[in-house]
Order: sequence, then structure tokens, then C-alpha cells
Amino acid sequence: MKTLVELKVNGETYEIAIDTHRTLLEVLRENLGLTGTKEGCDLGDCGSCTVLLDGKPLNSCLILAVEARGRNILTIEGLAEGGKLHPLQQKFVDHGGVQCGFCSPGMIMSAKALLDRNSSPTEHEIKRAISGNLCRCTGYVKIVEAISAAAENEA
Amino acid sequence: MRLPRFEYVLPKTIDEAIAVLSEEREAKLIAGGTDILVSMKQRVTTPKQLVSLREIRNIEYIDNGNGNLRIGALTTLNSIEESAIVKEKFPMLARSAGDVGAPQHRYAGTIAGNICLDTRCIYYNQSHFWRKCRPVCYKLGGEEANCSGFETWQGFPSPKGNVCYAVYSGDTAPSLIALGAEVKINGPEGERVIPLRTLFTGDGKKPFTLGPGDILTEVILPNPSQYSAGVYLKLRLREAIDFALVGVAANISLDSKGGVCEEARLVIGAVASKPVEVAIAEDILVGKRITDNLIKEVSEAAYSEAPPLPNISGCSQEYRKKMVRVLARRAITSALDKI
Repeated sequence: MKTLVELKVNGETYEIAIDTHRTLLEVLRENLGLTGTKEGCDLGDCGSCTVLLDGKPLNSCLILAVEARGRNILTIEGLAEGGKLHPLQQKFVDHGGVQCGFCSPGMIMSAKALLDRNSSPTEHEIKRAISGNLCRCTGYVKIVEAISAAAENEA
Repeated sequence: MRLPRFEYVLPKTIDEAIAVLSEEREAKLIAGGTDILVSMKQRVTTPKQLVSLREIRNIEYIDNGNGNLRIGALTTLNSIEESAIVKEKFPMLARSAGDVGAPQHRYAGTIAGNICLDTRCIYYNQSHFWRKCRPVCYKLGGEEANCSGFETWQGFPSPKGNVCYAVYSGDTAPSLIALGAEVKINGPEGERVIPLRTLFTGDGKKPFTLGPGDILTEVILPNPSQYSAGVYLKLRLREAIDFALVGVAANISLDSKGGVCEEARLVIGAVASKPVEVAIAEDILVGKRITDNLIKEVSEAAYSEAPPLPNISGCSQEYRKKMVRVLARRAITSALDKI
């Protein structure tokens, strides 16, 4: 059964009719064409599909799209402004935090949620914040470096 | 993996939700959704209706009342982990909530959802594709237990027959039981408050004593005594995401600093179909000044009373069994250090 749902994604409001059994991840990628958010395990283990809902990092594969109505959804596409990368994205590039790139959108969203709450996190806090995001290139050291560099930049 | 189709129901009040659940036996509740949506994707459960608690007001709170702390069912694990009052009064609960899954699960997952976590098994929590090459297991409604892989483990009987050996691996329940928590249940017959320990049946197939239409709505924790402390230790392969291989919660109360033990509760999680209370810990410790020898005696008792079932993956049963002893000793020692 389709339901009419209003989704606020990256500051824009979309009114779409969706089946209640579809996840937010499916709707973002398939209905809205926002394929920056990746589908990895689709079971909540890998964190590739992390988006921010009202500022909180959540696995979009484990959220029904209908349950995201009325909440502010931020995806990786919503970070860059006017063609200029978000400082976090830039630091991932500068510090080699991106290898194959598949985990990067989720990593960056988890990192953003952390930095929005805590502008000068310790290394341990950074590691804990991205503990739900798997990088199969195992480039964790560079990722942690990129996030601390972004934090220093903001401070 | 796509979700199966279901009818989405969004009640506005608890009573409405109870009515829906009592009417449709194949309806299930969804709170944070981090466990049930995975089960549904794997077709382990395919409810006709999914009843969301999202629109129900006033069941998300941490309320520091007189003599107790009350936590609403929909309070997220993250709010509990970060709550100043929980950290101050019940650091063990804050820690065990923070040990669940990864940040993404804790921002979504709720305390009631974590308590009512379904039991798990390496033969049950698999994709439909994986499972269909085996007969239907007992937990899924089949004729008998289908955990024949058990036979390869030494010293464990082959569990053919009408017993389900799925393991309960919730992290908050062992801590809450050790802290003497009660839970409020709202159901078709009204409201009742029961000790959390009686919520568990010990049956892997039907792990909770909740009837049709019953909803866990509140967790109630009695104030800790002045000289008490609790510690929860979780064994897992990775520091995040994984379910517990063993979880040990110890809560110790003394009559004064360095004094005589008044209360001692030791609860072991992820070894059986319910959190296992090592009752003998109380007999050994209460009324005495706790010494290293007594701690050793208690951890030996935990070792022999709480042997882990062999049906979760990750490491050998023998290792998990030995770690029950090690973690029990560490948990009690470190609780004493904190008093």
C-alpha cells in the first residue's frame, strides 16, 4: 500500500508516494536518485548507508522511509556548498582518507555527527564515533587523521 | 535484501497499540527497528502488521523520582549512555547501553527493544536463501530443533527434539537484573509491574512471558545504596557492532567502605536463552568481607553454573566458557574498586 510522505532531504522537501515496506536507503537511491549514500550489507552491520536524521547518524537501511517523515535528513550530497567540498570532505581528500571510496559517505556522515556535537574530539572519541562504519580497504588510520585535521581546522 | 510487505500501523496511544496487537496475532511492534527489520529482511519473521510506537507520546523519558529512576520504553540507548543522571547513579547501565552495537544502532535502538531482543542462533539468524537448504527449525515452527551442527562440539548433547537453544544476547538486561530492575507492562488486562528477571522464560523459542497485546512501557530502577557499585563486561570479537559472546554483570553492595557485603548479584548474559543469575554468588559473599579467595570461589561457581550454549558464532564454546570465569572475577574485583 502506498502512502504519501513528505521527506525533507538536504533542505529540500519531496512529496512522494511510497510503499510502507521500503527503507529510507531504497527511497533515497531509487526514488530521489541520491546514490551518494551506499548500500553495503543492507543489514546494519557496515555503516555505508549512514545518513543524519535530525543530526543523528543512523543506518538508512534499517529505517522505514515512512518513519523518516518530518525529520531533517542529511545525506552526503547535502554537504558541499556551491561546488565547494565540505571541510570534512576536503580533509578526507588531503589526508588520503579515501581509497576505494565506498565507505566514505557513511564515514563522513558519522564524522560530521561527531564534530557537530564535539568540536575537539580525542582520537578515542573519533574511533568510537566511526566504530559502526567498516572500511574494507582498512584505511582507518588515514580516516582518523582526516577527521582530527577537520576538527582542528574548525576549532 | 528487501523487506517483505506488511501493513504499517501507527497508533497514537498505548491502548490503541494494545488493541491492535491483541486483535492481530501476527502483528509485531517496531520501536528503533534495528533488530526486527534485519529479521524481516532475512524472512525470519514476516509479520502481517508492523505496529510503530513512534507517534505515542510520553514514553521517552529518564525520570529521577523519589527512591527510583524511571526510564520510558522508547528512550534510546544513546540517551541512556549519555544521560548524566544514569551515569551518576547507574554507571553500569550507561556502560552496557553504550556497549550495544554501534553508534548507529544506539541512536535508533531503544531500551525496551534491547530488553525484548529476540534470541539468536547461528542456524536461525541467516538469510532465507541460507536457511532453505535445511529443514525448518523448531524456533521457526518446524518439528524439531535443527541445530545438528551442535554434534561437532564436544561434551554437548545433540539437541534434537522440542527444545530451542537460541541464545539471549541483550546487553542491558543482565545489568538491569543485577541492579534489581522492575518493568512495567501494559496489556489488555491493564498495567502491571514485574521484576525484570521474571520477564524471561528461558525458552529460546518464546523467550518472554509477555502475552498477546502486552507492551513493555517502563523500566524502574531502585536507588542504589550508598556503598554499592556495578560493572558490566562484554566479550566480543570487535569492540563495536558485535553481539556479546559472553556478558557479565556484577553488582555489589557493602555496609561501609571496605566493609561487609550486604548484597551481591552476578548475572551472565549470552550463555543461555535468558540472562543467568548465579544465585550462589549471594550465598558465598553476603555477610562477609570480600577477599580474593571468595571472588575466586564465586567465579568458579559462575563457570560451572553458566556454561555457554554453543550456537553463536565467533569463537569456541570452550573459550567462552573459560571467559565466564575470567570476566566474573574481573567484574566483581572492579566493582569493589569502585565502591
